[in-house]
Amino acid sequence: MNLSPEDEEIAAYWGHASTVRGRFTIRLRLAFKRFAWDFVVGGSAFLKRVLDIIAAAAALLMLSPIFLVVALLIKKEDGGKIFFGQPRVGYRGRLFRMWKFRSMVPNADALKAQLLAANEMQGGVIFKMKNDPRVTRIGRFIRKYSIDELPQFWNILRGEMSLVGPRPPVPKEVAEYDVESRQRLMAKPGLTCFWQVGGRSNIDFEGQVRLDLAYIRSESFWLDIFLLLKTVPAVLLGQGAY
Amino acid sequence: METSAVLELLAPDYGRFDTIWRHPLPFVLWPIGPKSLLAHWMDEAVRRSVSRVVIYAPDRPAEIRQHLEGGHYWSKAVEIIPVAREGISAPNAIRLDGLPWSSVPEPVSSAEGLLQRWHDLQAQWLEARQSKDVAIDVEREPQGWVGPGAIIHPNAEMRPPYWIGSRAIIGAKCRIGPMAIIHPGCLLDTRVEVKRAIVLPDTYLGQNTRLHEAAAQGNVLIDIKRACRVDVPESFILSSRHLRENKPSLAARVSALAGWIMLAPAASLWPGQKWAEQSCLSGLETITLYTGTKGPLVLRRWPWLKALSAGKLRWFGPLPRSEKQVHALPEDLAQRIAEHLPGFFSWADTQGCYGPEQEDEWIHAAFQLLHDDGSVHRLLRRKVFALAFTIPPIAP
Repeated sequence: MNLSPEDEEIAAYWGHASTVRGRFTIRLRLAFKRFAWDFVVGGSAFLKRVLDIIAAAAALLMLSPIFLVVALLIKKEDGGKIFFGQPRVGYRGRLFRMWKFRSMVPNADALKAQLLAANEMQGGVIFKMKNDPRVTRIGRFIRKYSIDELPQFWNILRGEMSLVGPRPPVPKEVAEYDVESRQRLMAKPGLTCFWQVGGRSNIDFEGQVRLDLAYIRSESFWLDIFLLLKTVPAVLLGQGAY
Repeated sequence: METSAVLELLAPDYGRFDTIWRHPLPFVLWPIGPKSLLAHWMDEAVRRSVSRVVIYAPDRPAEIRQHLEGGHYWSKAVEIIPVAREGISAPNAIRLDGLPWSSVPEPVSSAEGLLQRWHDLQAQWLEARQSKDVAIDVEREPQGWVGPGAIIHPNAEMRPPYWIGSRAIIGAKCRIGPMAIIHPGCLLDTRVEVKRAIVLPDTYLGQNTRLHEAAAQGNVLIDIKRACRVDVPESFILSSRHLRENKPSLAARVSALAGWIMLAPAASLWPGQKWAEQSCLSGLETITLYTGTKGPLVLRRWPWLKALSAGKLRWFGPLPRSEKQVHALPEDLAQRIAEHLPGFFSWADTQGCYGPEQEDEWIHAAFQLLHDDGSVHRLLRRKVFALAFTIPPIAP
């Protein structure tokens, strides 16, 4: 019987695999392959988590003086709560409480219903408006420079969020998503992502979903570093934040 | 668009037909493409804009409840109603026998039929996939989708339709498709052929292997055509990509070897020590273990440390037992015991049962296997020193 070169190669392989020495070398190769997968593919996820823990812990420590000043200013302005914990939808739809410095008046949710007609976001899923009357004086300043988002380092440390990832939506917004838009929940939410770096709040909902999915498609440790570096000038210049 | 306030679904009770794969989850949670059959129906609930989903579940409702995590992903209130038998409590519910967009097939009536149904649903899902503007997967070529982070060797031959999940690696000279579904995290070595087949998550397929009309999960091969299952013992042919699955880690083996060396004088010089020989199952092979009759547990089981360092035992697992003792157990438990490596310390030890011959030991073994996700191991770790120096009242 004539065997093709490929069949001969396969036969030689299985002949080799039936010997003790052959099995040892093949097992060694398997160990290397598994290590290579962990190192090349799985390593990125591990590094991302390590970066999250180190950066969030360092940020919480180093920014503690700013936390103190902002907390005092918020308390002095209207005597209300310093932090605002809002239920958000995280990875694979899991609910968690996202922490922020309170930048709105204490009864902001009750006032929202009266302001829905003035929603400036296209598509109607997300509520955003410039010159929102519910935002306090201190709130306007801390929102412009994204200082209100800093307590989210605590969420990152807890593993509910990551430094880089799609912004976590509120459950009411998610309820209006179609099946395709829900795919943005397939990544751990983060502080910053493509659209925060690009145009921040100026991008419409469809654009945000597309950019979030583009991030999920290309998610890697080095992309996270790149996006973090790009976020710094975007935050300092206050692009698109209101 | 069809609109209704409540979507009623009936999960068919196919547990009795699942005698080949013996999947830990009910049929509705078996993967069809990247998500479970039930998740496809939950997507349908979003499309139909229903406010609530009611699922009648005669088979493992707790698993279904856990899988849906409250339905938050779909923003739907989900109610899971355990029912004794399908059909009696839900006359208006849709039977989850097929995908939402396909016609409802006849109910399954045999073990072969169940596997074939699952395989058919995969093909239906892959054929019905359409190019979408907003999607995580990339359409590499018409009907050929690749998930994020997947790596395909340039020499691999790809024949659509196929779907490659995220972070899967396809090696050189592989032939993938048609009708191939490779789940996330899979590792396909050189010259692997996957045709009308499914490779489930985190599975390693060794060099020069062919998978036709079959499914592979870890070291389990399910032949759909012949309706049979093969547990492949050689990791280089078919195995889970996770090194540690059902195998002690390198650290566990090194620590066991260190323990074996350090305890050797005390164990061998313990007054009146006698070693009883027993033949035990360790995964797919039979090993011989010696157990002492005197002293604390760690010294009685001192020879087990050598077996642990050789990768035949784990630190934590059900107690080792002979083939006869395994077969005396209820069928489900016997299967689970046979699939797992026994442990040096077991949950039964904490309950005062130090050997499988004790009457209640199998209940603790069943509990440990049901919670073999680390929760029992964490509890055991806390008690490890107390356990090690326990002096069993009877010779284990």
